[in-house]
Amino acid sequence: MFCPQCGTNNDQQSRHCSQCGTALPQQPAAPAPSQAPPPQYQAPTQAPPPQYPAPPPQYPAPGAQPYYPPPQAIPGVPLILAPIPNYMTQAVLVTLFCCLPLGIVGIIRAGEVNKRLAVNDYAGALAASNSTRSILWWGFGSGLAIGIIYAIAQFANLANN
Amino acid sequence: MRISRITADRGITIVSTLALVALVAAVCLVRPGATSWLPPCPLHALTGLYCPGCGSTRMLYHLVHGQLGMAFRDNPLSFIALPVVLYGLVRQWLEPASGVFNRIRPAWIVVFTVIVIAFTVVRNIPAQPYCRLAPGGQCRTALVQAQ
Repeated sequence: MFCPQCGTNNDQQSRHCSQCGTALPQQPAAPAPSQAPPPQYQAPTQAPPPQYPAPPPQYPAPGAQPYYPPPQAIPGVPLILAPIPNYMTQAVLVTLFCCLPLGIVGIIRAGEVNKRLAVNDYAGALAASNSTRSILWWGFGSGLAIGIIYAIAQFANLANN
Repeated sequence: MRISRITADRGITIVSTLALVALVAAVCLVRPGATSWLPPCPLHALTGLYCPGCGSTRMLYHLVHGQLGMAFRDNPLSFIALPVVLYGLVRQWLEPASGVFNRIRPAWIVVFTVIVIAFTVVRNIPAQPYCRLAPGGQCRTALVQAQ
């Protein structure tokens, strides 16, 4: 089951999210079969409804299909409404402007998101998307940290001279 | 879930845009290499090797000052990738859940990764045609011989 807070895919039985600790909504118990009261009055014999021929099966128009089809509702799995981002832009930005190998890892992970989307593995795509985002946060964070350390060293140099 | 995801996307869009804007503002004010106020590439400072991003700041500097040829020689890869990055950022701002670049075939991303790695390897070969991909299109061996 997906955590409603962070989107992590958790075990079906778990009560709390393994990633952020949010309490997970519990699966509702299967509804009891409705017990309809027995019919009080038996209608006299009725003619069976007329049989119509089955409508012809509907085929989608060829060429109108997107690269990956829209998500299908699966019982127990919430429908993912927003497209799953792969953060390709940020991965290229980290690679080429942050001087960090984390960016290359981000590009490879962005490819993983697209690979999962192409085979309709939305849970896998979501997990790959979340891990890509974490990697890129580390990339931007370490770039910022290096910048701050460098600035402190520069100010120390200025103070000494 | 939808709201929390869009908020998370918004965060990384804001930070990445701010980082790029700060870099462009910095190269408008100072010249990379001539100032001690822009941090050098940590990988190059530690190992002497060029990473795929080495020369990107100088590329932005030459771009901002209208020297397109110099900008291209500083880092051809980021010169070509910059419009793509700008397009991706604009799409993310206009439509937070646009899923930009979601439909690129995985094989093309593998090709791009190979290009980045090959570019990094080739620009570090200290011999003539290869080191033309080094920042500024200059060979380190040529610099050593000149000294």
